Amino acid sequence: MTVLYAPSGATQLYFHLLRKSPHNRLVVSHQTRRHLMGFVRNALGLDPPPSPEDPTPENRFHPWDQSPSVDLRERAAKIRTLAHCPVTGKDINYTCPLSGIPTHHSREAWEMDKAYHDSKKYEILKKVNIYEHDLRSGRPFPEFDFPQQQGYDKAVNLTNWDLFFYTRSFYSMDTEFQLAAVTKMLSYPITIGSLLHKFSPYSLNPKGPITLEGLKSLAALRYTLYPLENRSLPTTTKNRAMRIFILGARAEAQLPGHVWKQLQFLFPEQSFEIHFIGPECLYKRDKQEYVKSTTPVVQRVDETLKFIYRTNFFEVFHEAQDFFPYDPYMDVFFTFHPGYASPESHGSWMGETMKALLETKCAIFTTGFNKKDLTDDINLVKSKYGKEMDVLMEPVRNVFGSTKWELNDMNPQEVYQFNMYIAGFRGKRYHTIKRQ
Amino acid sequence: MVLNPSKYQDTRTWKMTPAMIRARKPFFKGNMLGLTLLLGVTGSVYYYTYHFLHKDNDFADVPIPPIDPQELEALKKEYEAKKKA
Repeated sequence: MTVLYAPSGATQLYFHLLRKSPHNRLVVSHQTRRHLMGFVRNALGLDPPPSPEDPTPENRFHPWDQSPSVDLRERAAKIRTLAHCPVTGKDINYTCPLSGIPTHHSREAWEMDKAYHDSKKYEILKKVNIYEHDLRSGRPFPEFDFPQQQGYDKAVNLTNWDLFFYTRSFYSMDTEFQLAAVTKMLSYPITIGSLLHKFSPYSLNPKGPITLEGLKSLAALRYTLYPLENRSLPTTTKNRAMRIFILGARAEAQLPGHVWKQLQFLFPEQSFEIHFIGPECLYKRDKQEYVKSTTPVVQRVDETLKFIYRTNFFEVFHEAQDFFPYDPYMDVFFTFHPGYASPESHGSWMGETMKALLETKCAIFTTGFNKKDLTDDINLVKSKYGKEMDVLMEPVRNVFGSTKWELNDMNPQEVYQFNMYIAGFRGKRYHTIKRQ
Repeated sequence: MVLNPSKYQDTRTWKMTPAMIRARKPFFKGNMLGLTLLLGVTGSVYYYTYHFLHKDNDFADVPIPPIDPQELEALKKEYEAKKKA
């Protein structure tokens, strides 16, 4: 009786029944083996084998000259046209085999470039390569399914990207490819949100980069953003939305409404008006060109968020007093990678525009591509308008900068991330008295 | 919804996803320190109690039979002296 109920006995009977049909036996044994292995793998907690669709640095690497994407092949041709070899100064004719991007004139020049190999610049260039290919691979992007508003009992942690995604219940960003794709989009709204939020990761001097003047400006803005917490004080009735002015808007003006909505979800009691100001802020996708409009173009996302596009320079509206009166409690300015100190945009920024910006007496935050870019900008503003401005925030690495590496086509070895560094300043609110 | 599966739990193996592990990383040191402190205090209390209870010197001054005849005589004299007084 015991032998009859043993598993081995049952197996023998089972195979006996299937003896006449070898095909069935193969199918059954195959299914049994796979199912059993799956169960064992699950029980031991091992990871299932990766799908060929999952992005990896191996299957996302292609030399840009032979890329399956037309965009990247054109970009490789553009690099060869515009850039120069850092070793010989000649044109680019050699694609780095480690990164897949054209970088040097020849293999001899590539081998001679000691700085390139010692600093392991090719690793970052390889990341540029694989990220661009991942975006064009046609794989599904479930990470772009952003969460909606969440209740007050679920606090948002703004220490870093991972904690922000977790506490906001975003899709699980398991790979660096998902992180790169999402952080590039969200870097603009969350950079603004992380500055204005009461649980900002930037603390006061000397522990953090915020100066005392910066604390004053941010405290005024937070006074408006958190009206319920100031219940004990007599607050005036709110008569308008908070205005966020983004000057020199280009890529940030093209972000769709549900991306900017992530900023509003951080402040559920507040409504926002985002003013995109600049000649390149209104891009018509159907016409494939920037549009000029003499009247402001208004796009209403919902009752709490509104976009206003003004396709001219800021000083034009400032002189026309379109935005008067400015209120440091309800207005804030952002310039994303403005390039105050770069030769091509120095003139348009450091003349009337900067003067107008400082006249508003509102907080102005600026970001840069890298440390040199931002420190050059801030040092130029200090040297030219040092007596008319206060520093709100020392130049510091942006906690919510993009993690996607980008490339400058004119100099392939110059890599950067969007909004990598951030700083803040403001026109002086207290008039200085001249000594007699 | 309480019964919704978590986005940070692998639906095939039910383990924490790499994103969740990264999100918990900043708290690892603090949590380990807290755990060490908690276990340290608790263990210290247990160790002290165990060590204290096993000393057992309370009845060292009580004589244990059988007693030496000479000592018995000395104790008798002492007792008689106390009795007279």
